[in-house]
Amino acid sequence: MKQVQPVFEEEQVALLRQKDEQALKIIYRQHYPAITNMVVNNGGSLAEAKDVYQEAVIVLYEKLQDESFELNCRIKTFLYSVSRNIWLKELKNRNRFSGSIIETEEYADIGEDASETEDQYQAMNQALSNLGEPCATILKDFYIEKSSMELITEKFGYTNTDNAKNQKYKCLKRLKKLFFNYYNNENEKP
Amino acid sequence: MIGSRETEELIERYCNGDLSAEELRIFEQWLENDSALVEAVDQHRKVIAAFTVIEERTSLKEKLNLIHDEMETEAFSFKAPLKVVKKEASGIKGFYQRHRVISIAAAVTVFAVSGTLLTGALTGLFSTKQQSAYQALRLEVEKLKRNQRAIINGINEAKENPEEAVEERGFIGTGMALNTDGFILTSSHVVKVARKIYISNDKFDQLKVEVIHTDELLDIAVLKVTEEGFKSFGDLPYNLKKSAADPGERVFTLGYPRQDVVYNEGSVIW
Repeated sequence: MKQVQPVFEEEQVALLRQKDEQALKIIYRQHYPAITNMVVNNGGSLAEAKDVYQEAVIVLYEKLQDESFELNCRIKTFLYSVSRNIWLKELKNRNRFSGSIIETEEYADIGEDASETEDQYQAMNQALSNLGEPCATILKDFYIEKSSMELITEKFGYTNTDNAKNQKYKCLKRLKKLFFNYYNNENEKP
Repeated sequence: MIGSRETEELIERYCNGDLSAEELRIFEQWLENDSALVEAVDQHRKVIAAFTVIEERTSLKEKLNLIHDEMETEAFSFKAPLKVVKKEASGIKGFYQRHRVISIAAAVTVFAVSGTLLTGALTGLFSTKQQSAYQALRLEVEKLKRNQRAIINGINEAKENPEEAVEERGFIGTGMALNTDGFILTSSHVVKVARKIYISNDKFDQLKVEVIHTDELLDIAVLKVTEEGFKSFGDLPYNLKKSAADPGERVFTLGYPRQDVVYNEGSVIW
């Protein structure tokens, strides 16, 4: 049986706001060729195209979580414009940017995100990749999965809840330290 | 003391709004007098917020990879309908902006026609003006019926002797290259009763092809160039999207039923 699928963009956008996975899938599949086309036509590989595209889809997804955000262009135009910005940046980093790229779709002028929060996210990325286990999983279980401390105690085999709480406290402390290390370093750069 | 487990837990409960009224009163008093605590609260919020965003990104990325892998796997399955994806060609862009959903247009037409016929049945309630309109409509319908009968007769005659009928005229249809190696996709009705099939376009004169696969249900046929000396079509100006087309996706068709190209557009409806 084929599932009923949202046909119109307004529907797709509304469903994506509610984190609907079917809508995510439809949108992902629908616009993948157009963005791949742009990256591949401008010196990128298929793997790079995939990364750029996924990053753009994540931007759209996160933007839609903000209720005040309104998408006032077509989904494809948004994804293309974000991907285009990401790819231009990448080309500049490689010193391979010739001043223009081959446009394969229409695009809108979409300003880049406020860099302060984005810097925080990058710092968090680095912090998390250095946090290690079991801290990463404990914090994820507690803050994201909203597991109870009792469940965490059991899962990680601590003798009692207080031990688990102590471990969680140490982990969070370590994460904070790592995070502000990276974040402050980042900010001190010229 | 700031940084101790007790304080950290207090900060967390404060941020989550879990402090009792009494605890909250004391904590707020402390906040007023200790800027270090204010900063610790701010840092806690920043870290938890960034942590949540990054974790959500990670899980979203995992979902996207699953979707991507599924899409790639389907690309190798022949069950997925094939679709042409156009590379940049500015001339056609304008057409995209005037898209419409064909199915809806069709549904509206059907409703309008049946509506008229229904009113026609309720003759007793008619004003004379409506009556004459009804009679005009009846004449129209009779004319259509005659035309239809003539067409059906023509088809039946052709059916009795299909090969002859086809050979006399020759069929022209439209096809597209599936890859550079000489595989062509066309409709199976185009090649159904043909004995010899040739393809041609403005690049090459005529190439002999053979049917290698047909699917009557989907009305699809795959042809392969069998002309001696044929090597490749050279670069194709488009890619094939290998995954299934999604409902609502805008599509267009280019056909050559006559000498000129005929353009049509619409949306995938299911």
